[in-house]
Amino acid sequence: MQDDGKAWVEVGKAIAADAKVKVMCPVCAEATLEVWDVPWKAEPKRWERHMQCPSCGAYNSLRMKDKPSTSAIDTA
Amino acid sequence: MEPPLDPKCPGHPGVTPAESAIISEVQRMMASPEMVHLHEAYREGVSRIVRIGGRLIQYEPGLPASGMTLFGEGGFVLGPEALTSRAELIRTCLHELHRLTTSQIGSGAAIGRNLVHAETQAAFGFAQRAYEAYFGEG
Repeated sequence: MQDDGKAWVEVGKAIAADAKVKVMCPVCAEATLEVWDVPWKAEPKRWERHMQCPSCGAYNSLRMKDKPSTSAIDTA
Repeated sequence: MEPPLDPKCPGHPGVTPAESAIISEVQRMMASPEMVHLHEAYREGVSRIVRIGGRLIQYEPGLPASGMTLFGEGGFVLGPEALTSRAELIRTCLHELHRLTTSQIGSGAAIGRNLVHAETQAAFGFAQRAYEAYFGEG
């Protein structure tokens, strides 16, 4: 796995546990990742947590459930 | 909206050709010996990386989520939640592959609220629909 991929895994672990944690982009290291949640309409206790760098556009997403996250940011 | 029946996908009627390819890939994943290795890692609580058909899949015990895309790798990460049941594992693989192969955002498109919401609904909806049609036990 590339270094960016390894860094993304660590970023994902931190952001999955707490959406409000401030994490620098693992690709460009020039900006803090933006994080927001989008619930699945059919089952709102399930959602995706999106992570994107406002500087370079790097992006990944998490498939989440109601636990253990405590800091969802709902943009629905 | 449900996709129309596609006569080009006789093996998986009711889905698009792209979705049919995802279902086939997950069927191969579930039958692979590497999937056994991921279950072993889950039971042992250790991280493990495998490649199934060239697709990178990592099991990460510290990820408090079912799954996570790795667009740069063309692969994905599974968290412990994904391995708590066969159903959740299949749905997570379907979801992550749908993201990796169909996401406009992951391909560099500008993020807009409507696009993000549409892709989230599409990924969850496809995973559930495909699981019930092609992997469910009832």
